[in-house]
Amino acid sequence: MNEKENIIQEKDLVNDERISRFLQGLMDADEETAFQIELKNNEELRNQAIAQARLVKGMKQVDEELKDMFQHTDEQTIRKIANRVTARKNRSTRWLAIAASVVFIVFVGFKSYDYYDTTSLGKEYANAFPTSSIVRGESNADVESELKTLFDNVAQNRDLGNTTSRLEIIWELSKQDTYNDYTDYAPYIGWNLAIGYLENYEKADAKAVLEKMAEMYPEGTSVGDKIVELLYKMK
Amino acid sequence: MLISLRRNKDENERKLEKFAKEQWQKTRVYLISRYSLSEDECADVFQDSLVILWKNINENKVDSKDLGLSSSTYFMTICRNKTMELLRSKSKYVTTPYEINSSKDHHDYQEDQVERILSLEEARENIQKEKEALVRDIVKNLPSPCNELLWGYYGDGHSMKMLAEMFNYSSENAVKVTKHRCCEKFRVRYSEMSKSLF
Repeated sequence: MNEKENIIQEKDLVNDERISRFLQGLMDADEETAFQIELKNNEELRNQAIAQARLVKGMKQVDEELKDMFQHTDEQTIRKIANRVTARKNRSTRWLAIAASVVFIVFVGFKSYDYYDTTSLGKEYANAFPTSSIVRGESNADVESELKTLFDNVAQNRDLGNTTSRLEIIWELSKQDTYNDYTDYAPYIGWNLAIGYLENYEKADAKAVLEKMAEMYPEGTSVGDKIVELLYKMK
Repeated sequence: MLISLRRNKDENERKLEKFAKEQWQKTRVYLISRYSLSEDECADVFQDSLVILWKNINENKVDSKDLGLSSSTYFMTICRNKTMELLRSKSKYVTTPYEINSSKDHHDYQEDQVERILSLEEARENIQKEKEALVRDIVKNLPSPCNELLWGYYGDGHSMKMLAEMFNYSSENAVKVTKHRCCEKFRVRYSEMSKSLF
């Protein structure tokens, strides 16, 4: 189109309006008759009207194609498209993420609280039976030396991984029916193992040891009473 | 056979995504400017509405002959309804100076009137299908702003006022002028491409 053709005149817009009114069936009988006569005689108007009628028909056909495509698509694909287009996760996924975050925060919060509670309990009971009162250097020096080191580690919350590993072994030895170097120290080995577990936040292992000890050392004994007390606090 | 079905499915998905993208561009701007929705609220409304559109089409509730609405206009109506639901649930009904009224802001074209005009075209019955295919091809690939305005006016039947608001034109007259230019471009293109059919 050259510059002259590019200038839109009032009559062009009026004709657009008339064509639309005709296509919508809004003209009264007289106006419509006059318009049809003009269409026959005015090639420019006729071509404009044909172009607009083509647009209406073509767009309607494209729309039908679109509906057909919708009918051949499943809901999941539609949701996927909606998510992609809006460039974000859908609500259910978002709510799931929020819920997961809340659960995670609650879980972490609970874990933090539980960790603090459990390890504090271990520290609180770490000196219930001081090492000096258990190991007096009266018998096997090697055994006593090792036990002192292990019990001190528990009392001072030190090297807990290795300490509980070793205590596990000697706790098993101390429980054997056959008398051995550890038999006399069994309640303290078990106790220190349980405390070591608590300090190391291994609550279930601590509980298992204490429950086993509760069967072996009844209430009324110093160890038995402490076991009952500690198990109660662990609930 | 399976490959062909897969290809069709991908092609459908691509076309539906194109439709969804165009709707999202329109809807987002419209809902934010008219109802002051947040970006997230717009996305919620859009996602819900697209699924409703899909369901209604599949349940044959969208019959353009009965309703006189294109998928796009029908989709916009769903978006507005979902927005009103949302605003009611938030007790934040927003009164706007110009509320959308489907009868006032939408017009229907009569199929018989369209055919009467088309009957004035040079009679070449044997190439009618080709001509229709040609038009479909052109209207699927209109450049902006003709894509928005011609589809909005002839496809969706929106009023000039509605189009001015939707696409941020200063006035209805500005829309009329641009739309007229777009019609002329279409006419030239259609006329040139039609010659290749003979």
